Amino acid sequence: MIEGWFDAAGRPYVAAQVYLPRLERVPRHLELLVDTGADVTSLHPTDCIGIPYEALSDLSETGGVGGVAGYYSEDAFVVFDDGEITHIYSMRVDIAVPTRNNMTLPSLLGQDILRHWRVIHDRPGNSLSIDVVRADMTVSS
Amino acid sequence: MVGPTIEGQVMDAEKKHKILGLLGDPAEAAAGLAAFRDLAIRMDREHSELLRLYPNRWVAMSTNGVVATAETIDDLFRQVDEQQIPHHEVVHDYMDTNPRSLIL
Repeated sequence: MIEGWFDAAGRPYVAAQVYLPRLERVPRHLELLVDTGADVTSLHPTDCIGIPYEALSDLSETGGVGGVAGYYSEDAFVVFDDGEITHIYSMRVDIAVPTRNNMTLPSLLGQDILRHWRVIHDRPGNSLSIDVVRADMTVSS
Repeated sequence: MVGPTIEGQVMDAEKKHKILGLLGDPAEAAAGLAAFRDLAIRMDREHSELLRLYPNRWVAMSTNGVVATAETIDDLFRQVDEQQIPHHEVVHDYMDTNPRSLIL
């Protein structure tokens, strides 16, 4: 089981490593907000320090309750660990165009990964447990 | 020492090789991720105290405690870099005294 946690506001998070192989050699360690309403996993500026935005392309618009926002799409490996097994997804992630209004937004774990997980969200018990049903690749850790 | 067991129906051999090269030692990578998670939980646990001490500032924390505070996130990581702390060894957050409700 991957063990997540709830932040001070009670929002559910999991830890992940995100590799952007076209852009950098070192993984980013991120706190991803588990967002069942998000279609895709997306990185917001708080987690994008050092990303060469000029090297990004594939810009598109994404709709949300705050209106339309711009995101680049980028190849990534997204990695989770449950203490015994490392679960790896090869996918595209969205990288937000920085704006004055999205600087403090958390990065989001969307349905592109969540559809492969069984998640037990237990706020009364202060427990967020994730059973990975499918990953693109697993490595014993 | 027994090497890692690798499974996966989706990735081709070339992609598997690429990710294993990036991942390095799986046990070391897993330990690093677990340490990061523990640090994030610690920062959330100490959130009310950090909010009191550093209102409306970005705060970076390592296992040694708060290592930087700044008005902007760029300044925050400039300080982290000056101390030569790898970014994956810190967690960071904005101590917002008037946080907005999030509807994502």
